[in-house]
Amino acid sequence: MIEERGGPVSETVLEMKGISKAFSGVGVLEEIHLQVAKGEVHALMGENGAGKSTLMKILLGIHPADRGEILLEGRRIVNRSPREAMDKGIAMIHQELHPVLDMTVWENVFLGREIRTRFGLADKKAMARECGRLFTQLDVPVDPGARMRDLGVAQCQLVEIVKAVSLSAKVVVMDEPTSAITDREVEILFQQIARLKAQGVGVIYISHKMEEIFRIADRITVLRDGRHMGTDSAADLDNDRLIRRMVGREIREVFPKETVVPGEVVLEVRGLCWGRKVRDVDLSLRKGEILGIAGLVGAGRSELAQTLFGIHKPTGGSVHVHGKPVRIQRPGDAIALKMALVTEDRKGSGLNLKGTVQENITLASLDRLFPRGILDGSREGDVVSKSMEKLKVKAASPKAPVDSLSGGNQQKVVLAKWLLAGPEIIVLDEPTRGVDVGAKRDIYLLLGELVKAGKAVIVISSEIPEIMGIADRILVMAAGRVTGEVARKDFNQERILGYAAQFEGGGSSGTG
Amino acid sequence: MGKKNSWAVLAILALELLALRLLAPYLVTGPALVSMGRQLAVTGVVAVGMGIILLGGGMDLSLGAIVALTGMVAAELMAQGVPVLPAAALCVLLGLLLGWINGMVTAKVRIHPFILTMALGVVYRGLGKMVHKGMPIYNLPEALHRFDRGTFLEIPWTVWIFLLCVGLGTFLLSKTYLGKYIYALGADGKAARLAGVDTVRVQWIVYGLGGFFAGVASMLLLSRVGSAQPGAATGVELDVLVGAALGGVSFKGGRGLLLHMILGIFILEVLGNALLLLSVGEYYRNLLKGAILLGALALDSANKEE
Repeated sequence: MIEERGGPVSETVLEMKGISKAFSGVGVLEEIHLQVAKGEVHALMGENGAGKSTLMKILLGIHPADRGEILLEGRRIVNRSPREAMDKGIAMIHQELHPVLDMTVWENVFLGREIRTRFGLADKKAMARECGRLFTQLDVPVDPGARMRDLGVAQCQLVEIVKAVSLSAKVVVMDEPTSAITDREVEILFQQIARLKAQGVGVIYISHKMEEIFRIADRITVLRDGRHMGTDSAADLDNDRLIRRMVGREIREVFPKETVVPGEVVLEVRGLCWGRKVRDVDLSLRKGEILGIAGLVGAGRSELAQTLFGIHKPTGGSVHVHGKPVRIQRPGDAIALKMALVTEDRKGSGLNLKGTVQENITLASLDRLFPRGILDGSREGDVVSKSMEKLKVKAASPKAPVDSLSGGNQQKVVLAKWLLAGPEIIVLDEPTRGVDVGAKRDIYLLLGELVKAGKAVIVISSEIPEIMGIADRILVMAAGRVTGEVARKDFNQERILGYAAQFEGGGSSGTG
Repeated sequence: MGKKNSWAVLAILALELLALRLLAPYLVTGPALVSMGRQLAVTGVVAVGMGIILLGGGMDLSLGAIVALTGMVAAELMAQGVPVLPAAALCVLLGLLLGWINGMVTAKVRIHPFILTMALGVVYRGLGKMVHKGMPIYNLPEALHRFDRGTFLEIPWTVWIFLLCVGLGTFLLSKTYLGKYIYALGADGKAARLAGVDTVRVQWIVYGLGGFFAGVASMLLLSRVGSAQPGAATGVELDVLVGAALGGVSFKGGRGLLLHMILGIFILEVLGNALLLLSVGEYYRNLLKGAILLGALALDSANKEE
């Protein structure tokens, strides 16, 4: 199954051999091989849940591997913590950066390994000077004395890269580094990656963006459902072959789509605002329609959904449901208007993890099921078994604790909860995040059934192929505003990304 | 999980009673147990309120002070000539009101309820002392005493009221959707709010019930002691919390059964009686209580992954 067609590669810097890992008996990674050469950009690709991040967590010592070994420059290493990995020369630039915001840039670069004076005190001057020297050498347009708080995402990333360089990292892992930065900033990032390559650093690059991968990657390793699907030279692959390898089937099957003729407008939003996160948003939603909302991380999509649902109190604008003006001040108001919100952080706010499957499914419908306030156990049981059957929730019983379920099944419990409440307008925020391929398909099929039954659906997703696969219409947001709308016949990845990067004045976090 | 815990709690209680019976057979007879129920009634009724609060993810350390304050007010009213029943009813309502205040404060002020209710408790104790210049009130109406002595089917009224409160609390928590909301609030307030539960209202109700049951407990105490003391029910919260810990009611909310908590209080009481028989001094008993609480808390925190 594993094909090696990369041709002769120069000296290997990192090798992960036969890595296997299971979480509570469920195999997540099976016999994964990853070999990174000096000065190579090695793309690691796969769908969400394919095992990329678990593999990287093993590399960084966050999880131990069940089997297999890691060789750094030919020597076997065992990492027990990210700190240990860093000391050995493996640095990671996370998708979400966590700098200490109130510290200066140079303090962050030297955090935890401060340069000391002869008396053992932190030598601020030396650190600031050294940091400045690194920045000039690497051509990074950031002031070492600035506070991290004042920097944009792209600049924080650059600081992380400088930190990796100053640690003389041999391997740098980048997890979706371009998910939250503008095109111009991407160029600067790519220049830095070229510089790392020239210095012989091996770069492991995780991204979903095809054109990016084909631009910078030397070789591509694909994982699917925890298995190694092959490593190829990027030149030997094209878009279609890569996607096929990632999803294992034609893309059309992945997104089963029901064609429903949209009915009347059920939700009309005009000039909706919430502070600076949601600005002047207009949208309308019809019966039987799936409206997709695309955008980069931090574009205000989740905040828009939360404002619609009354989690945040709107600071401006109007909302009409079925043509009537409404005021939604708390989630209870939205539920009374037959709205439902499936939130993006399932564990944080979507589920009561201490409760059973049954308790979670009925929570939003108790007052409707039992208007007199007294519960009827057998009736509740019936209702729950029916909705579990309908959504194919795999659980030992309705009384099983919900935290014993897999991610996909937990998500189905959340959906079951909302469907039981009988909503007309359903907003789903990243409904397939952290969900395996099979459960994803079940969720897409369910969305199709919902619109067939005349519900109106809004789906927020960061995965552009997904949103293009399921939506009838896509709104694109950037910096809290709607920057574009695309009808299904005009769907095109570049166009959507173009709108998504449309900030006021060309860039919210300018690097120059 | 619930069933397993039920067996565990019952098994411990049975073992204890067996041990006590070997030590002192006369303490484990029908009448002796009824008398124990009577002794436990006040703590037990407070525990019903605290149980609801704990399951709702809260904590109320002012319940003892509410018992004392409502008792002082009731006694003062009775001393002024107000008949027993209206005075008692009024004071139970006063308990409800104080509970509501606790609910409002804990809902609005984003500080752990532990600290907030401790502060409120100090205020209520102070108010309780102001009622009669810090002095106890004696010479309560004869009717109170008659109530305390009164029985139905050979079981004292006090015990009936205790059982009634436990029944009410259990029904509310397990058979109504308000109960489900309370569990949901305690387990994960954010998730409950997103599911449309008016969490602030539920929190008011939860603390209000805590105050209500403290008011009921206060009237039982009044009838048993025959006087109102501003320092009454000091430290009752500790006994109640140890009972909760023994009964497996999570201090992090949303998990456990009220009935187990009540059984936990019985376990503690039986243990106390046994230690008394073995002439273990009060200091040691305190030490043991603290140790049990600590141990149970450690278990609770280790148990978070179920």
